[in-house]
Amino acid sequence: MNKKPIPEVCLDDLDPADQNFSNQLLLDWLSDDVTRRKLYESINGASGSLMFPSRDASPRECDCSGVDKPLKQPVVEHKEVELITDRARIIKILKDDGKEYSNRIYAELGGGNFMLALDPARGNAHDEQQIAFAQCFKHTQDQLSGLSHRACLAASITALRAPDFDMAVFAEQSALRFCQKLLGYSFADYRLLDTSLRASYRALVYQVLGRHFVTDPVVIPEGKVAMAKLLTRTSALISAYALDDANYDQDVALKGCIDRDVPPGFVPVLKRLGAHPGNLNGEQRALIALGSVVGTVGNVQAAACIAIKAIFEDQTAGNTGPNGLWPRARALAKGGVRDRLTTLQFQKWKELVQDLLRANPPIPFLPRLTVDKHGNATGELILALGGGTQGSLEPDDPLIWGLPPQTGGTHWCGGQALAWPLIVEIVRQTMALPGLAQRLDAQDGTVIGLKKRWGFACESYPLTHRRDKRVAQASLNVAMRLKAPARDSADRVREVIRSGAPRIEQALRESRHVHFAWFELIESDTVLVLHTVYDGPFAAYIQDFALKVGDLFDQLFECIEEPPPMPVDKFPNEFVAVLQRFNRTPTMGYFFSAYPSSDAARIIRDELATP
Amino acid sequence: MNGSFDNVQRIVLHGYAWKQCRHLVLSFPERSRPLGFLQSLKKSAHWPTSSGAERPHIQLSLGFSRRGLEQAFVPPYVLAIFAMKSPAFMAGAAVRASSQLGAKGSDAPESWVGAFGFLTLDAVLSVHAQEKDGADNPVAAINELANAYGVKVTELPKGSSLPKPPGVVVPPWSPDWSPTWDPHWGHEPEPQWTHFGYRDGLSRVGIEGHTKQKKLATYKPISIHPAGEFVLGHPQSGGANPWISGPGSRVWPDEIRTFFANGSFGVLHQVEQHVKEFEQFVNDKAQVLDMNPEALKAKLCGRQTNGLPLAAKNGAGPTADFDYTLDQKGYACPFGSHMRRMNPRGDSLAHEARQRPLLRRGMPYGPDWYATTDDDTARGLLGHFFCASIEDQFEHLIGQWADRVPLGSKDRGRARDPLIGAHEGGDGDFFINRAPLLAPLQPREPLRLRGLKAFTSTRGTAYLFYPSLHTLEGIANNSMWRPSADDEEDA
Repeated sequence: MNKKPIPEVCLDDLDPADQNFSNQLLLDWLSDDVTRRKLYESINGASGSLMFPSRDASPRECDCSGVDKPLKQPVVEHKEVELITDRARIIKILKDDGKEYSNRIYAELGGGNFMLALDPARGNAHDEQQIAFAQCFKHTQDQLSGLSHRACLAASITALRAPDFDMAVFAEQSALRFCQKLLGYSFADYRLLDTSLRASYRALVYQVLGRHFVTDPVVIPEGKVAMAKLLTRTSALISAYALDDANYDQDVALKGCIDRDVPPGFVPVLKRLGAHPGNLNGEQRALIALGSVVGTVGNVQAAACIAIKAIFEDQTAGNTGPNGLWPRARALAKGGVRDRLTTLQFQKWKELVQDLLRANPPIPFLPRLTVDKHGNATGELILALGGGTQGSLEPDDPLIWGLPPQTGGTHWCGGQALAWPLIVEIVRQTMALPGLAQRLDAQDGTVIGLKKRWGFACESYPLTHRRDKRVAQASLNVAMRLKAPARDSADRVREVIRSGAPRIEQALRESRHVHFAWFELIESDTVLVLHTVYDGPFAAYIQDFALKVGDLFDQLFECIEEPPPMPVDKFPNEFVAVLQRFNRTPTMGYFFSAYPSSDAARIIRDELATP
Repeated sequence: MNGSFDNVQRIVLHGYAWKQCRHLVLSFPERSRPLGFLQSLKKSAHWPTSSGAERPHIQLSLGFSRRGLEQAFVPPYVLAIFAMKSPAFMAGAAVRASSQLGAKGSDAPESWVGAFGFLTLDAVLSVHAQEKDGADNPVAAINELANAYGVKVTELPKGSSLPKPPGVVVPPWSPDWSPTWDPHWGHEPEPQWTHFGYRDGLSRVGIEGHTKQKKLATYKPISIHPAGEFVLGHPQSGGANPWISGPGSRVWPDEIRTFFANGSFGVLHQVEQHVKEFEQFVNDKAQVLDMNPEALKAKLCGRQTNGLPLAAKNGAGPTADFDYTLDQKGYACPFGSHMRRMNPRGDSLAHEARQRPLLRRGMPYGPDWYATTDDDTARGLLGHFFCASIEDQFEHLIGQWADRVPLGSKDRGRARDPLIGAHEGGDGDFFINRAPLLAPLQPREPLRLRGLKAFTSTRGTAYLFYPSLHTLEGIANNSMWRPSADDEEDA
C-alpha cells in the first residue's frame, strides 16, 4: 500500500539548474526495473551516456596511499558524473590497460583490493596473485556443482523452515555456505563470514553507486573493519592449513574446518593457498581468498533473485506454453533434486538463466575514473552494464561475466566458473519447491516482489511454498501457566492425565495424524506443556482434538490461566486461537525429521511401524 | 419447518438445473453509491431470491467480499468478527491462494482475469434462469441501475448448460425413471453435463431441518448434515455454533447475531478446462493401459460419464445416494478419483471430526467442445460453492484433498486429484486398484497411470459472504445498526 509512484522516464526532466531534484529523480529511475530499462533505452537512443549531478562531491582520488598527496578542497556544488550505457564504449573502457581509465575507486574499500582495484599495469605481486588465484580456485565442474548443491541444502534447513520465506535470504545463505565450504572455513566462522561479507558488500555497493545519491559515511569504515576481521581469521587459517598439511584434520587450529560433506577429491581453497609455492606473503595470500568472495555473495544472491523474478514475470505475462519460462524451469527442476547435474542439464539451466541476467545484470554498475597520463583523476564514470547488455545475444556476455585477462580486460568478476554452478543450483532448488509462489501484499493483493537497494543489492523477495509437502510433520509445544495455587493445579493435571490416559491414547491412535505426544510440567510444576509432532494443517489438527476429546481438554483447562471458552468442542475456533497463541515454535524453526515424506497414516498403513 | 430458512438466499439451499447464469462482478468505486444501488435493486424487484420461493423462473443472488462490506458501510466492529471467525474471508482469496489452495504458476492470482481484481471485486450479483432472455433482460436492467449509482459492472463469461455429449449411453431407466427418484418431490431436473463429458449435479447433500424428510429417508446418513455446515447461526456437526458468540463464550448482542444469522459463505471459482488435452490424454493412456477410454474416464472421476457411480450397488441410478462401504479396497472406485476425494462419503481419513460438505451450484461456460471441437474459445466451469467455513470446507477440499493425497487415505498413488489437480511432471502416479483374479485367487498389482497433466487452470477465485435477505435489507437501508424500538423499550 502507498507505494510511491515512479515518474515517467523523460531525460528532459533532469533539470541542470536543480541538481538536487535531478539527482533524486535519477535515483528513482535507476531503482526500478521498468524505469531503469526505459532510462537506458532513452540514453542509448541519444548519445549513449548521461552526465548527472552526484551528491558525493569529495575528491575521489585517494588510493590506499592517498595520504601522501595534498587533499583537495571539496567542491561546493554537485559533482558531474557520467553514466555510460553504450555497449561499445563500455567494452572499450573495460579493456583499457590503465592509461585512460582507472578502477582504483575500489581502493577506498581497502582490504580485498587485489581482485577489484587491479589495474593491469600494476606489477609483480598482482601477477603472482593472479597465478595463485588461477591455481588455487580451480575445481572441476562436478566439484563446484556438488558443492553448490550441498550449500543450498545446508542453507535450506533454516532459510526454508517455514512456508513463507525470503528468496533473498535463501540465496544469500546458500552463497555463504558455498563460500564457507569452498574456502574451508570452520562452521563456527559462519557468523563472521555472514557479517563481514554483508558489510563489505554494502560498502561496495555504496562506493560503486550509493554515494552518488545518498550520504552514509559509516558504510565504508564498517566495511573495512569487517573485512579486516575476516582477513585476520583467513590468514590464520591459511597458516594453520599450511603448517599441518599431513594431518590437518587433527589440528586444533582447524577445529570445525573439516567438512566431510564435500564432493570427492575436493580440497578447500585456503588449504591450497597455504600450500601454494612462491613468495607471496600471508596477507597477499589471504587477500586472494577474500578479494574473490567479497562480491560473490551479493552478486550471486542478486543473480538468483533476478532469475526467479523474471520467471514469475514471464508467467504473469501469459507465457504458459511449453516455451514459457515457468513451465521450462519447473520441468527442468522437477527431475528430482539430485546432487549432480548432467552437462546437458547444466547447459539448459545456463541458457534459461543467461537471458534473464542479460535483461538485468546482477552487477548492474561498475565505477571508473578517467585519468591523465600521470594517473591523476580527471573525471568519474559509472558503467551501466544493463544498458550495454540490452539486445546483446553474446553467450557468457563479458558485460555480465567479465573479460578474461587474455582478452586484454581486467578480470573483475572472479567467478564465471565459480558463480555459474552456484546460481544454477539456487535457482534449480528454488524452482523445485512444491507450491512455489510469490507472496502478495495483504492490503492490496499485489505481488510484494523483489526489493533492491538503489536497483543494486537485493534486500528481500517474499515467496511462499508448501512446506508440508517437503516435511510432512510439524511440532506443537503449547506452554500454559497453571492457575494458582500451582501445586493444587499440578496435582489436578496429573490426575486428569492419569485417569484420562486411555482416552487420550485412543483418540491419538485413531487420529492417524499424530506421531508423538506427551505432557510436561516445567518451571517447578507451574507451567504445563503439551508437546506433539503431527501431520497436516495446524487448525484442522487442533480442531479435530477439540471436537473429539474436548471434555479432557476442558478438565485440563480448568487448571490453567487464561483458558479458552469452554466446553472447547462448542468453541473450536477459540480453542485453535488459544493454542496458537501459547505455541512455542522451535528456535530458528529448526526441526529434524528422519522421514520427512512419511505421514503417520502412511507409516501405519504400510506397516512401516506397528502401532 | 422450512419457514425458518426463508431468509437464506435461495442459491445456498437449492440446487437446480438452471440453463443460464450470469455473474456480474460489482465494484463500488469512490463516489459511487452502493447503498442507493442496493435500494434500487429492491425497488425494481431485482432482489435476491428467498429460499422459500417455489421454482422461480429467475433466481438472483448477491454476495459481498470483505471490501464490499466495508464499502457498504458495515461497521468495523462487525467486520472484525470475520477476522476471528473466518480469516480466509477477511484476507481474500488472492492472499490465501498460494498457501491454502496450492495455486501456483498460471493458477496464481497474478494471472487471474481482471474481474477478480483484489481491489475492485466488491460484490457478485448472479442471475440464474431457464431461458437466455430470462437471464439477459435482468442483466440489462441491473446494468442501467448500476450506471445510475456509479457502480461498475464486469460480467464474467456467460454460463449455460451443456447438452449430453455424443457417445454417452444413458441407461434406459435413467434419468427419468431412476428408481430412487420419487415423483412426490416434484419434477426431476434434467441431467447436467460438464465440459469433460461427465454428468453433473448428482451429489446428494441433505440438510437437516431443510431437506424434506421423505427425501432424507433415502439418503445415506453420511450425506445428511446439520444446517450449520452451510448456514451461519446454526449448530455445526460437531455441535458448535461459532457465529453467535466469541472470542469468549458470551453470546453476541442481537444486532450482531442477526447480521450473520442465515448468511452463508460462497466461493466463486472460475476454472478453465482444457478438454482437448484431457480427451487426448485419456485416449492415449487408455491404449497404454489397455482400457476402454470411457472406462478410464470413469476411473478418474468415480462415476461413469452417464453418472452411474462406480461404487454403488447394482441397479442404483445416477441420482441415488451411495457410500463406499461396498468398495473398501477401491477396486470399483479408485481412492484417488475426483469424487472419492471431494466427497469421501465416510471413507476414513485423518482430521475426520469435521466432515467437509460443500453445496455445489456451478455452471459451465464456453462452447461445448464435443459439438464443435473448437479449441480457440475458452471454456470451463463457473464453480460456485456454499459452506459455513471457507477454511474447513472449500480450502480443505482444494488445498488438502485435491492438491495432495488426503491424509489417512488408502490411496497408494501420489497423484493429485486427476481432474482438477495442478499436475506437474515428476508428480506421483494415479493408482487404479484391481480386484484379484478368481480361481485361483491371485492379487493383482494396481494399474499405474503416469504423467497426469493439469487439465484445468484457475482464472479467478472470490470469497464472498451471502447475507440473509433480512441482513441485506439492513445493509441497503443502513438500518442494521440502529437499536430497534423493542430494544429501547427494554432499556
